Amino acid sequence: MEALKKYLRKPMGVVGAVMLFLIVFVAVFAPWLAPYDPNVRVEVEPDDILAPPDAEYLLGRDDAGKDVLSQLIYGARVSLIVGFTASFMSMFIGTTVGLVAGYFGGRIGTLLMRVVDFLMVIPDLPLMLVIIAVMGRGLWNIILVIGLLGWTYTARLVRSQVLSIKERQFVLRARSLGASSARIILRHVFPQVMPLVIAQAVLDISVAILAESSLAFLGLGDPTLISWGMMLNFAFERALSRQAWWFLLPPGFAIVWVSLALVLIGNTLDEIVNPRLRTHHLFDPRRMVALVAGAPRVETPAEE
Amino acid sequence: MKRRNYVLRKVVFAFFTLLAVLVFNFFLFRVLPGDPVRLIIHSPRMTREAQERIRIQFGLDRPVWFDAEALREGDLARAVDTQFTAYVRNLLRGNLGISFASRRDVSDMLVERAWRTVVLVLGGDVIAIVFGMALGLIAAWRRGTRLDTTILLAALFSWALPTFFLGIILLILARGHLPVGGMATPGLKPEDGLTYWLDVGKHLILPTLTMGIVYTSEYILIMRSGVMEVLAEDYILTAKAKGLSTLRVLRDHALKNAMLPMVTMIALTFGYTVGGAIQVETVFSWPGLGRLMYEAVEKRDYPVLQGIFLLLAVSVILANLLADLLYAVLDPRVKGN
Amino acid sequence: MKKSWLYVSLALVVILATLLAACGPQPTTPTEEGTAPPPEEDEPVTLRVGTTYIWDTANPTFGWYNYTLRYLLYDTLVEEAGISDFVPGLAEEWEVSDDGLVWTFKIREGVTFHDGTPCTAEDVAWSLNWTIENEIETFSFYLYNFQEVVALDDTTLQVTLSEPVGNMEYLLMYVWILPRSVWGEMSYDEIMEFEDMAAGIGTGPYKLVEWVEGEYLIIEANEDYWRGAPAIDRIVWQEFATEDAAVQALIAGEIDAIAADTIPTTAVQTLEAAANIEVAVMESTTIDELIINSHENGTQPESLWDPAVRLAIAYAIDKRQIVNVAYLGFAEPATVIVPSSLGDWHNSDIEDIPFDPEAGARVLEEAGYVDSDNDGIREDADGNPLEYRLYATEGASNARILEIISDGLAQVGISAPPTLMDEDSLIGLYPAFDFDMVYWGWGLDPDPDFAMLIFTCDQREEGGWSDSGYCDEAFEEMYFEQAVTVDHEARRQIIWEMQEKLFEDRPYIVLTYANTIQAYRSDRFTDFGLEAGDILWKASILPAHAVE
Repeated sequence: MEALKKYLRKPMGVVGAVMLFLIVFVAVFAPWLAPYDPNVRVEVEPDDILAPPDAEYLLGRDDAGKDVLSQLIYGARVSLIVGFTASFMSMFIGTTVGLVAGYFGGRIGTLLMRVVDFLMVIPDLPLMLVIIAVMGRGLWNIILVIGLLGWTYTARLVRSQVLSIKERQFVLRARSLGASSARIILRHVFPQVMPLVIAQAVLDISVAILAESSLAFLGLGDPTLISWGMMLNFAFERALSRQAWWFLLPPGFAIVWVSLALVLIGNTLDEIVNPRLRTHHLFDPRRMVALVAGAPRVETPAEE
Repeated sequence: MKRRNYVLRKVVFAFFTLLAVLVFNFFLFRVLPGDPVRLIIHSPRMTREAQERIRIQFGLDRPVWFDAEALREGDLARAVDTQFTAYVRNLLRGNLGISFASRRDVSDMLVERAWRTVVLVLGGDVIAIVFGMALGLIAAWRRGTRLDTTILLAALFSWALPTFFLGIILLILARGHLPVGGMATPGLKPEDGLTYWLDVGKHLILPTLTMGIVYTSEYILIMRSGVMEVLAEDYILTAKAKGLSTLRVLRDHALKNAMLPMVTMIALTFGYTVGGAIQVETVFSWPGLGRLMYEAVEKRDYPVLQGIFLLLAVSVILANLLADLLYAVLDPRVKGN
Repeated sequence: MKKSWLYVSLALVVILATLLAACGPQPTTPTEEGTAPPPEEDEPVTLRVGTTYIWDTANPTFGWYNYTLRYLLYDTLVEEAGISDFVPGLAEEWEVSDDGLVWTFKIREGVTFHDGTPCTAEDVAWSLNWTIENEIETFSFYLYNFQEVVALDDTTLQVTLSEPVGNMEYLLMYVWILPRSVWGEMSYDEIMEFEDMAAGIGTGPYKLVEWVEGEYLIIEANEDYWRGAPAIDRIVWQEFATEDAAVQALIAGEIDAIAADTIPTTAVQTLEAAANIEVAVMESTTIDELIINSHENGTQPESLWDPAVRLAIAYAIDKRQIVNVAYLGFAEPATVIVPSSLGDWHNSDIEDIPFDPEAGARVLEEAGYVDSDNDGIREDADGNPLEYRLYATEGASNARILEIISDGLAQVGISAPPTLMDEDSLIGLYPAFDFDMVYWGWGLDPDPDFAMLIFTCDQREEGGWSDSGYCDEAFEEMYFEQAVTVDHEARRQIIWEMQEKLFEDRPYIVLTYANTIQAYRSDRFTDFGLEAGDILWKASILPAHAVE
């Protein structure tokens, strides 16, 4: 409750939450909101292709003669599914690895962190490109690749938190009382890192959404689903020379809308749950690099 | 002592990461499905003998890791004469193999393409650093004002903007005013001197601007938080109390300290912007590494992909090492302890 | 430390500002609403061509891209002026013996290769023999029937065949005459590795000058060309990452023409509206088809063999919708494999199966395929659902086509979710016939032989051309009969029968006959020979010239 009150006092956070709520609402109620069902075939003539907006088609028609607005509305579903699922995967793996590495330390910890360091050196987008091209473009492949490559920062974040938490009184006491490691981790350590992990996960959702749209734009999206990146792929290949802005701009701004919403929320959550950090952790240089390009980070000596 | 240890540790780590990357790189492109011979041969009409010749030419007639049969026969030299040892041997000689698709030397292709991407990334970085620093500084200086909020929001907005989408917007806006694709007007050559380079510069504007705008947001955020943090420190408050003007304080103290994360950031960006470069190069037909990589993915040109991955990984490792070493030089905490 | 940083930043801002100022306004002047700059007196006439991919290699022995360009470098004995319109090339005239086995060609006098070496009948004979001996993969197969090639003197070439053929001109228009001076001393491996620009040396109207991979390629007029030097002095191909970038460059006047297959159909409207641009929509030999796996060892489900299922698939495909969505009307719905552009080879008697999902559903119902579990997909007698793999190569318009096919199939109760993959992966599935249905498009040869050849049994062996795996004894007999039928009308009748057979067995469901769309700056160039079907084809480019 206290946290909620704090959150509501931050205008950026409130704006972000409202923006996200709108998108979730649109995604959930897509069949009722969309004027047409984009999955139903329509008989078209050459003149219907990329027809500009009119009273019947508020955002005009796409390169297959279908309503752009309806696809935009349905596209929210794919973005949100990919974003939330992939980010949940990253969160799960990252937290587990971070907890284990931080709590047990020693050889396992070092080994796990070396794997993390190694994965950070491999450029993400190129690797995703290769894997998707080979594995096929199903929605689950895309989610898997984004989720499996995106957990390294969470792992590092959790580990550094655990390192300090495990030296604290209540943990030491629980241990002296003979509590098992599993119990200590689940009962005492995990709740402490949870808020941080969630703030991080919200930011990861937007990273995942941007990654999905980049892949789809490069022609590696799931062809059976309507997603914003996919719409832009069609628009870029077939609508650009027509200057069909009604097909080019809406999906792009939809991506901006949802990722901006998530950044505003994640940002605000961070400010609330993470007051101990020296600087705001979204603004940490390594963090920024990580966010923007899904890129490698180095360890700061100060961290150790 | 501590510092020397630190540096040594970083160098050793970089070395081992490099080794791991070498093995991973080889492994990744062998587990991918598809018969490489099929991929080399565009013509399904090629005879079996011709295919065999090509298999030998590309070293694909040898086993991948280990020749167990030769070992049983006691021929140790032959047992280790595998695709992997050939890969390592070739690497040591700087030979990255031959492209499946174009049958050209991969190292030649990389050299040809890499500098173009470097130019693009450098140009984008210069814009991002200059504007990012300036705006970040202003935001921190005017902290809490409407100007600060505007800059912050603009930074978050451009952060949320997909690189390729920004590129498309600029492409639409610049129609008819700037070249929309390619690197230079065909026929112009470097030998043409200034005309050529001005022409390249013209072609560079849009892609560089795209890279620049996308990465400006990061620099704004880092600069802003860095300066703000310094401004909150005690010695700054003391300096202010002594009557020094805010500008003076910023110049003499804040900037100096905020420079540390900046330097790291700059060193780091060179290694990783290729993700963005793939998108920018696709939108603007810029014939750099990113596009080569994209084409290689489409054509399953494994040697080229392998080469690019290696180049990227090595540059990231080196940039990381450089950033670590810079930290050692600049950060008093590493120095002092 | 901090000071130098400030200075560096300042300096960079200044440099950047200068750069922007220097480059900004300039480009608008010469390209103002696309009026091209007037050519200067001594400036060579340069035709700039936009494309998305120039070619894979300068080496013609394994290069599979941009034949149009290669035909400007090399000559053949016989040339094609329009679809199936054969004219003399390096051979001025030819005659055949009464038994159809011995062909005698009179070779043009005084022809030289770009490197100055002469091209006599002797050299032509060497080139043909070299092609056969080395099994040059790109064109040796057209000479499958050549038993002996000899030069009787400097201008007389004699070819002895193992069996008579009815389409000699067609066979020869694919075989480039290459110089002994370049290729003569090479081993097979050396031939396959040769990447030098000298690989472009031929006797054609243009010389290969320079190629920068991924950027541009330049060819220059051959002053000694036997028809006389062409009016256009230089042709430059520029590579664009996207088709749209090429279209924009044409509108802005940065290029003068766009290569075939590079203009998106959605751009035609824009180009037609633009000033000083001529859009040429030409008949082509390109067909698009749905390949249905017909190999008995293929991995397709049993039900795909059932003629009823194939008929239902044919009923489910809305060819008109494909024409409208993917081609914006620049194609026509197809019936048989030989397109109408091949003249009387095209069997015009065949009436197409209309788009009628209800009829398709009825066919399946009657054949015993019912949807017993109510999931919208029909099952066969054993309960196996009618689920098929549907593939195509990547690209936005292919994605749209698969969508249409997949939607239609769903309506008759067949599930075939679309899968896009890159070309190499798709080709990789052919040898094992590891697919159910593939959407594919290709350009036919001007003679129907090749279109029929790919359905013969031998072509299913490794290295063969068969992509459907079709093999049928009756068809086989007709193929060998037409191959040795010299009389046109007799051969036409067999070819028509073969098309009907394929139409009924459906290894292919042919979807569309597409047009070729090209565009050029009519304020800069004129008089292209458009009947050639490609503005950059030799027969089109030679009469073309700059606008005065």
